[in-house]
This record gives sequence, structure tokens and C-alpha cells, in this order.
Amino acid sequence: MKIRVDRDACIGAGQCALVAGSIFDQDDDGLVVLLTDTPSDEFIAVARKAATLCPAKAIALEE
Amino acid sequence: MISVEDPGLVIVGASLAGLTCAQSLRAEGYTKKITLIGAERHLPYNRPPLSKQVLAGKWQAAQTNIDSAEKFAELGLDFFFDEDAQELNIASKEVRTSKRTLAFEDLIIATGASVRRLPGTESMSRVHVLRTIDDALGLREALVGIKCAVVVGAGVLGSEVISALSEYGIHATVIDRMARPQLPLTGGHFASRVNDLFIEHGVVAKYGVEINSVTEQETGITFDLSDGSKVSGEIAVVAIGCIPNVGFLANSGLDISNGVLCDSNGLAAPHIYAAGDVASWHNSITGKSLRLENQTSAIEQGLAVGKFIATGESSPTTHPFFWSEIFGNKILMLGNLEADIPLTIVHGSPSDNRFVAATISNGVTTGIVGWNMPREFRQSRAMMEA
Ligand SMILES: Cc1cc2nc3c(=O)[nH]c(=O)nc-3n(C[C@H](O)[C@H](O)[C@H](O)COP(=O)(O)OP(=O)(O)OC[C@H]3O[C@@H](n4cnc5c(N)ncnc54)[C@H](O)[C@@H]3O)c2cc1C
Ligand code: SF4
Repeated sequence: MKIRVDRDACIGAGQCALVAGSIFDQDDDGLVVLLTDTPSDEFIAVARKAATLCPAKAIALEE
Repeated sequence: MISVEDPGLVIVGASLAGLTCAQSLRAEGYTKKITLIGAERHLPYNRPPLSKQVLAGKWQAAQTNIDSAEKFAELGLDFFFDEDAQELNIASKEVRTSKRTLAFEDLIIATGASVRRLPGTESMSRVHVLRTIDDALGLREALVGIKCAVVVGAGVLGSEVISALSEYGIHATVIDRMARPQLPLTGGHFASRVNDLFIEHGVVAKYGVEINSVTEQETGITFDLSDGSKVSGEIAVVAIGCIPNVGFLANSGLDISNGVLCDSNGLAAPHIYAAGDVASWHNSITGKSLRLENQTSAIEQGLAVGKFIATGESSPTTHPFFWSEIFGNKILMLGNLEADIPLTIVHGSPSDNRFVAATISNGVTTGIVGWNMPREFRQSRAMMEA
């Protein structure tokens, strides 16, 4: 699975980093930073959770 | 034995809350039929960018889609668009739409809200509202080449529209019956900050006035105000709030006095649920029923309803969250700032235009705002869990 983030859409809510801190971080402007774009299997569920919870819908998962 | 096809589940309203319900049901293992009915002609899309990236001309319409068409198809829904529910019969477990009658085992109401219009202006072509993608594209087109506009409503949407106008170099006059600008959940603490931004950007504000009449001329629109003054613009944008879409529930027997009244699982009656802007959920943190109009509530309620129907498990109550961007300032808000408690500055400083502030009542943090400080805002969220 591959993760894509749209930094143009991101509003820095930080939901992603809260639920999946091993995959997402925020830069100084609060915008999402991907720590990895291909998470290992054990992190796929939290990545999916982050994508659903992102209020700006800035995270897409490609299976 | 006669087998009758299981009617499965019907979701009315194909936007953020309805789609999230469907995603959650599937993710939680719900395998029965799901029928999704939506009044709009589009795949589910995000509304927040309409007043931001789309109005500013930075995004095309397709960029607002929540899921790609392929992702959407993977959910395995029976999707009917451009079709609206017209009547709910709870006793016979049927919903009548503009095109058919559907039986259901469970029903989710996710019909959101519609814009409140200014009476008398409904058919005026120079008066715009902003709720749908079509509204946003129409308004964007109307901004081309104009020099002045009137915005009715100094709430969060009105403020975002004024920021967009200012980026286009369009002079704005704002009218509001309240005495100052309002941001949701902030207890009035940010009214003067927002007003200062208006002044700094040359916005003329008329607060505490009623609109006596509106007249449309060939080249513009004029508002007669209760203080005797007149305000004109080439177009007007009305942003005076929303009304929950409960018309089709009028004879259903549900309590629809402020949206659909639900318990803390989103249950309005046996087998009938509601989520998103249309729903007023019981909030176990505040002990009150609360109808919220924001993305995060629509998502969290959609997730919770899907999980509850699929597994019978409840989800924890969360704090309301919203964001906005006004004149380039990124505002994040969690919980509810209390009007009568002074702000405590947690990070940064208001004079630097970067800070995190909270209201703390008897040691309990009731709300946090991040103003141009998203990272510190996220770190401060822990205060609300304490
Ligand atoms: C311009 C704008 C900017 C916003 N900005 C922000 C922001 O920055 N942050 C934030 O948190 N929130 C923001 N919001 C609010 C956010 O968009 C809403 O909270 C969210 O869309 C709610 O989703 P929903 O699915 O509950 O309702 P809606 O998005 O209103 O969707 C309801 C759907 O149901 C359909 N429907 C209605 N009646 C029927 C019927 N009888 N039969 C079938 N279908 C029906 C409607 O056509 C609509 O498609 C903004 C909203 C707007 C309009
Ligand atoms: S949750 Fe979404 S909006 Fe928030 S920081 Fe992550 S990607 Fe950005």
C-alpha cells in the first residue's frame, strides 16, 4: 500500500499525527509530513484510520 | 420457505456523513446491501475548500471529491444520485423518494443542512449563497471583473468569503445584525481580532443593523438598513447560516425541532440513525444535545454509527473541532471556549499573531484555539484529555 498526502489540502489539524504518529508528522507550518509512504502491514489499519479522520481529506491510500 | 430479499440499509444524503457511514460499515465488516441516495448530481465532495481553494481559483471542482470514482465503487453501494427522499414511514420501514419506494432494515439520515436565504432575495441573480459546488463555481464566475460586493453575515463563512474577495481586490461591505463578528465555539473571544482584520483590509462593517429591504438593479444590489443607511454592491453574498434538511421527516414522528434528535450512538428511533449536520446528538461530556456543523463531527458521527450498526459497539464522545482560514490566518478550535472565562495563553503570543489559547474552568480545560500555531495546537490537545 502507498500513501499520498496533498499538502495543498492539509489544514494542519494533526489528526493524522495523533492516530498514526509513526507515519505522519507536521512541519513548523503544521502541514503534514510523511515519515514513510509505504507503511508495513501492521500500520495499514492506523493509516486507513488517519485517512478517514483527516477533516480536510488530504490523505489518500492506494492499495 | 419463501425467501425475501433482505432490504439492508439505506443512507439518505450522499455527502461527508453519508459516505463516512458507508465506509465505516464496510470497514467494520457489514456485508449486507447498502443503498445511498443523494439529491445532488455529484459524487460526494468536500465543502470546506469551496469557500477557500475553489473560491480563490486555486482548485478545480474535481479536486474537492472525497473519494476517487474507483475508491467509491469499491464500497459496493447501490448509489442513486439526483434523487431525494420525500417521506419516511417508520412503521412500514419504507422511505419514499422522488423516483421509488425503498424498504429498509436500518436507515441513516445524513441529509445535512441547506443555506438560509434572505427572504425576498431568492430569485435575485446578483444575490449568491455558498453551500454546494455549483454555488461556488457560480460565485467565482460572478467575481470576475467586479469592484465591490456586500456580504451579509459576519460569521465564519462570511469572514472566509470576505478574505477571498480581498484577495481579488474586491471591496467588501459586511452587514450583520449582531454587534460583532462570530466564530463558532469561541465564546466571542475572537470577535475583535477578526474585526481588526476587517479594518486592516479596508472592509466596511455595519454591525447591529437589520435589513429593511433589498432591491436589485441592472448593475447592482442595494440594502436598506435599519439605521437609515444604504449599502450597495455589484453582487451580494448571503452567509447567514444553515437549516437542517428535515423536510421529508415532517410526518415521521421523529423529534426534528433542531435537526434529528439522537442519543449518543446516533439512534433517533429503533433502526433509525442520523449523522452529520442534520443530527443533534446527545453529548455525554456536556450532558446536552448538540447539533454541530463541521467536518470532524460529520466524520466522527459517521464512523460511530457505522461501527454501532455493524458491531453493536459504542464510540467515545469527542470534543467538537473546526478550523478556518481568514486573511491567511490558520485557526484551529477544539472544545468550546467559555465566554465569561478569560483566555490563558499556552504557547506563543497574541501580539506576534501566533499563539495557542485556552479557557480553563476550575482546572478543567474547556476549549483550545490555535492561531497560526498548528503544531503547538496539536501538542496542547492533551490538555483537553486531562
Ligand atoms: C462553504 C463551506 C465551507 C465550510 N468550511 C468548513 C471548514 O472549514 N471546517 C469545517 O469543519 N466545516 C466546514 N464546513 C461545514 C462542513 O462542510 C459540513 O459540516 C459537512 O459538509 C457536513 O456534512 P454532512 O454530510 O452532514 O452534510 P452535507 O454536506 O450538507 O450533505 C448532505 C447531503 O444530503 C443531500 N440531501 C439533502 N436532503 C436530501 C434528501 N431529502 N434526499 C436525498 N439527499 C438529500 C444534500 O443534497 C447533500 O448532498 C463548510 C461548509 C460550507 C458550505
Ligand atoms: S489530519 Fe489531514 S489536515 Fe490534519 S495534518 Fe493530517 S493531513 Fe493535514
